[in-house]
Amino acid sequence: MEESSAILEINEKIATLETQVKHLRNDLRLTKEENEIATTNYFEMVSKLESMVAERTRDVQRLQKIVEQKAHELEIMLDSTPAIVFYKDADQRLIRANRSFAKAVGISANSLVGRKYSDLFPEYDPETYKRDLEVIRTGEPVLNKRESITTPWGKRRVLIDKIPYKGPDRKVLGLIGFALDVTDLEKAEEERAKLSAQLQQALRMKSLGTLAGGIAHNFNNLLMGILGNVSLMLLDMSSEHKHYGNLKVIETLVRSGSGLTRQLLGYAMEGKYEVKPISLNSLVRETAETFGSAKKEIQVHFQLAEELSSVRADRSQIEQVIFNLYVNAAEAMPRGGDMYLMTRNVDPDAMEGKPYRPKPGKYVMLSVADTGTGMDKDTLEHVFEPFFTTKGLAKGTGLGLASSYGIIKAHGGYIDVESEPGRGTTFSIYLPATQEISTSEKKDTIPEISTGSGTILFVDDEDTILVLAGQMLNALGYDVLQAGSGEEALRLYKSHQEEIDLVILDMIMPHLGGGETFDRMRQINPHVKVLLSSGYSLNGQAQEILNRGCDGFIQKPFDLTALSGSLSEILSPTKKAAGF
Amino acid sequence: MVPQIEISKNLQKILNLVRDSEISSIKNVVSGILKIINDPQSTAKDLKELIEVDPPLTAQVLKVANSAYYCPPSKIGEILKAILWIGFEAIKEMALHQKVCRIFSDDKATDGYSRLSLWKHSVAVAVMGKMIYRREFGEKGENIYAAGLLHDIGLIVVDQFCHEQFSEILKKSAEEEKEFTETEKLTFGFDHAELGKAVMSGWDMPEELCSAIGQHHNPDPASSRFKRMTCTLYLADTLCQEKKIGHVDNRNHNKGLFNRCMREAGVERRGLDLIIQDVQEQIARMEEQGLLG
Repeated sequence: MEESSAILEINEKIATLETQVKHLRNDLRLTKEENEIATTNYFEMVSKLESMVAERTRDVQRLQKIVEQKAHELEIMLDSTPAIVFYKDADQRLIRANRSFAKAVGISANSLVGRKYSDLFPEYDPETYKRDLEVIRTGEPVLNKRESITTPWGKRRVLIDKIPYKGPDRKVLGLIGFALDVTDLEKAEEERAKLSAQLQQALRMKSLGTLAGGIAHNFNNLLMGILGNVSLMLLDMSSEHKHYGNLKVIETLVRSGSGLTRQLLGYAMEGKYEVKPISLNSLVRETAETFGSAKKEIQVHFQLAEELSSVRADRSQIEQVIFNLYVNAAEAMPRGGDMYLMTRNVDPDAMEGKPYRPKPGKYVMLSVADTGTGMDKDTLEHVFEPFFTTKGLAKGTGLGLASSYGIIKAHGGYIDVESEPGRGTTFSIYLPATQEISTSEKKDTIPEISTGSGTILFVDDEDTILVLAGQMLNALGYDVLQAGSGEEALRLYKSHQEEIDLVILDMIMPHLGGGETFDRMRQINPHVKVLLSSGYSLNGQAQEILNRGCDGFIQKPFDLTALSGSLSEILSPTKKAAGF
Repeated sequence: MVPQIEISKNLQKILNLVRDSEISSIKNVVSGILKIINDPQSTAKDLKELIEVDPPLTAQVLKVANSAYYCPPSKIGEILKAILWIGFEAIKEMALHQKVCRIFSDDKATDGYSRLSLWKHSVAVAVMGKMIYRREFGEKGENIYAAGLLHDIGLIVVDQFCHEQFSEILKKSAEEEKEFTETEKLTFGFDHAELGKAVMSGWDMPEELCSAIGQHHNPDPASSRFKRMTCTLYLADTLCQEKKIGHVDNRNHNKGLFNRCMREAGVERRGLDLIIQDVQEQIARMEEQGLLG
């Protein structure tokens, strides 16, 4: 029994142990399964986390790339603008600057960062500095201020905007500046202002010229009437006649009146009758000789260039200009003094700083300097205007320098003056140089009245001139047909072309002008001989007609001598050739 | 006897009260956890999402995960890390535990009954049930763990909504040395097991779990499909009471019923004896760690 109970006990123990084993085995299997699931979960989660991390990393990298790209774009933008852009902190320390800034100060952009503004611009204007501090203090931008900065390339003018840079809490951290270099712009603006003043001056001169030309034209027609009539009267009058002397005086007065209108026309840039290559040197010598002998109290000094180029000019007009300058010099030195005449070959560079812009090309300069009283600024400004005179009305006409101005302009040249009170005056004229060689000129032989024969068609819209010219031509031995207009002239020419040897054609007429009439006559007869006449001098229009084949030009007023000369030049050319 | 119509009415009234009460607040999470438990496709992520939408539960779970019981190497701040550290299986139980625990709070001791002691009992039954499943049947026994935790929910309900009657029943059954459930039936026409089953059915719990809870004092009529869980729950409940772990509501141990249940479940007394020792140890350890407070 005991044994069996022991066996039972042992069996019971074994059974318990078996149960324990079963329990442990089951538990172990389940735990293993659970661990497997946990491990799977774990790896799944880890791989998920890893892919999340990878994705995040990619996002971050992408964002970083975008940020870098944006920064790069911004930098390119900042570096492409010609404007100077910078950012400095409240201590005036440069945090960032673009390429234009680096260029302006001549320091590479990288080594700019952190530099004190006062190191970069040691001559920084204290006013400007104050303004910077004000912007930082108030947080208000300052816009469109002009400032000067000193750079290794000299002082530059900038137009600058100063904008406060604010942090997220609206506190001002520094200052952003946008500056445009306006140095060149300011220069150009100045230049433009100067040019505009010049233009205004030129326009004033031109309108005065138009006025002067108009007056001269009408005046010449009047003088023509007087002179013609006087010439006719003198023709039939012996020198013993009691009115002979009076008529001679009238003739002289008319001539000097005509001289006045010539000056007016000169100012109006009309003239240039006979353009030939001339030598300024010889002209200066000849005129100075004449002038010097009249004004013994003035010492004339020549400083003439040896190989001076010729100029294409009307000799008598340039002569007139030179005389005007002499007269001006003499009047500045009432008690005598020195006059320096200088000629030189120059190019436009030598005319830098003059109140005009010379066209390119070579020029010949003539300067007339005196040691006289000089002129103040106010006088200088008006010196070339017509009827401007410091001499009082009795002494001068106020036309000398004005006509000189006009004549030189008409020759494509320039004239200017430098003077200071008490230090004398220097007038300089510049005329375009030519390669042509000047022919040695002699003064025209004093012409005589020469009669002729033939039929002349005289065309003028003014009755008095028609009547007078008829008488004058008759007196010279010519038959005369008269026409009061271009149309009438054409009619007459058509019907009488066989008899008409020459046509004297007024240039300015209503309706059908001289030029048009000339062209139509040439259609009738291509070899028609025409002498153009005008109260205006030989201007562009007249020159053009001459170029088209017109045979000559005579300026009103003309007397018998001039008329006979012009006629015989055209009608008997051999005589003209003999004149030279 | 309480008339049948009255019984149904009473039951429905109580169920309505439960539906609108604090007790039902745990319904979504508890049924969610059980769904995860019963779905082989579910993953730790599902559980994590379920826990994370419930901030108090998240805090609880993290608190426990960081407790000396689990002793993490560094502080765990995320549910996912808690799952990794403690394990998917254990977290399911822990979440369930923490959630159900809520309805056992608000303790008012009445004649040897307190919610705390009932909670300790419930945890012991859950642990025991699970151990039986694992060791004897070689199965995970997750539903039996939930069933263990919730098997006396009927008592909570009665205590909360019929508190006076509940106190009377407690007193009566102690005086008359009668089965507690019998007194309940006399008073209401149903006992707390049937009431618990009705609540669980309303929560859309697995049928097996509802059935086991409903029959945990009377496993004989249980259908054969749910027999094993019902019997296991009965055995665990009975043994935990025998060992006086937590609340005791069944003083009279029906030996015949017990033996029938062992046979039905296919377990032997010695196996259960081995298991109950481990249960006692684990409960002691949990108590020590403050996991039952």
